[in-house]
Amino acid sequence: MNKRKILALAIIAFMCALIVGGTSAYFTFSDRAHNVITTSGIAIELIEDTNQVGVDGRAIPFTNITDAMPGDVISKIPKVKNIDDGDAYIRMRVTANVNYPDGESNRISPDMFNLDIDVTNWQSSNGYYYYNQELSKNQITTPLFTTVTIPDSLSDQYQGATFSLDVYAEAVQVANNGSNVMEAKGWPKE
Amino acid sequence: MKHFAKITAALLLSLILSTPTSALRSSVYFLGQADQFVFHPGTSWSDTDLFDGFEGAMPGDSLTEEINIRNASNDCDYVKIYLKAAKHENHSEVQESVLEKENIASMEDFLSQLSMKVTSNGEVIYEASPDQLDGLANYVLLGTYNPGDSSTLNVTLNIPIELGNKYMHRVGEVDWIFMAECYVNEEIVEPDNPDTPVTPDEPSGEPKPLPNPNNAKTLDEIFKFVGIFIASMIGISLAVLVIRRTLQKEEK
Repeated sequence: MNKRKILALAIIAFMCALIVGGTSAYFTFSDRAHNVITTSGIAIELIEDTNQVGVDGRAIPFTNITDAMPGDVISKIPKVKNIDDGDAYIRMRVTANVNYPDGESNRISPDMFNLDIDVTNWQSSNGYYYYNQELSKNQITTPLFTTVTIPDSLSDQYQGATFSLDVYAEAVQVANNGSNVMEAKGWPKE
Repeated sequence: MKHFAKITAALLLSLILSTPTSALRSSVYFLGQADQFVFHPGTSWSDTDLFDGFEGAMPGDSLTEEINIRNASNDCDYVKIYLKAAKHENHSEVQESVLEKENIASMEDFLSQLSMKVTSNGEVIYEASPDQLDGLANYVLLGTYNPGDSSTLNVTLNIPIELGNKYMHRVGEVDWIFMAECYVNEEIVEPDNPDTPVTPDEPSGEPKPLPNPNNAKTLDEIFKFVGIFIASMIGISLAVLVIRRTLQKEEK
């Protein structure tokens, strides 16, 4: 008798469960998320000023000097500005050439011009000068040097010759690239 | 002892508060049948951008984005939320801001250089370069959510250190489609505008028929519900009869 009651209650419970579980209804909604991934970058600008100031109060950029004489001290102030978002390590290289009136050209040592290299902020290694600090957006390095001195003892062989003193600047990212400029990898020529 | 416990609690709190975290947090809210999905925070590239932490990446970066998925609806008893990725078949599916810098081919070339992993509830549901659909080629169930419930999607993006200058200042769009199934007991939820035909991939946000034929609410399903109801009534009637007979026999 009790079994029958239990059976009956079980049937009712089962049917109720069917009603509750079986009448769920649903509808769907969807939408699109446009997710964007971007990369940053680094870019630099080489600035070559002089110690002369223009009427606008800004330093006058370096231009070619003509008729320089032995012993002349020329103002040439190379610096580097970070013009992109990414922090950068900086290095510079200086090369010198002499072009003779007969068209011949030779590479010479830049040391000949007695450059007043800033050895506090720039570290020399493997022909490059490495800037000791990280350069963030819009920051400018200290000048690598400020003056170029034409040697007093310039021999007659250089009469009428043209000297070129070229400065190159390179940059590489700071992010994920060592703890200082000397540890950095991925320089443009590597 | 009580004093010690307070100090310990304070120390623990300060440790927790000072723990640094590199992961950023975006959110996907399902607001219900009227407002549907809302994406936060959005960026200057797209209002629905969930990857705000993946801007300005540099070679060697490993970036993480936590995406909070929340059922913020109050007109569904519970919802099931699914996710799938979508390929860009034509330019109309790409944000205009992105197309100013890239076309689909250049974008996919850029994205193919990267690697991305997505985990949901500790399970990896995607691991490929973001130009691929991988495990999100079809809808993946992220979870079943009662009102107020939430879960977290963890997205990790790796930029190879060897990425060259060609990939400076590049932009790539990764589209994800979220779908919610809103369940309401003993009541069929009708779409606002049932005559409007929509496809599952359209970013319309309008209520739409189920994308999977196996899930589709059809006449068969309605008949099934009616059948269950009739069976239930018959079952209850039979049960009542059995009980009454039993009671009558007991009285005799």
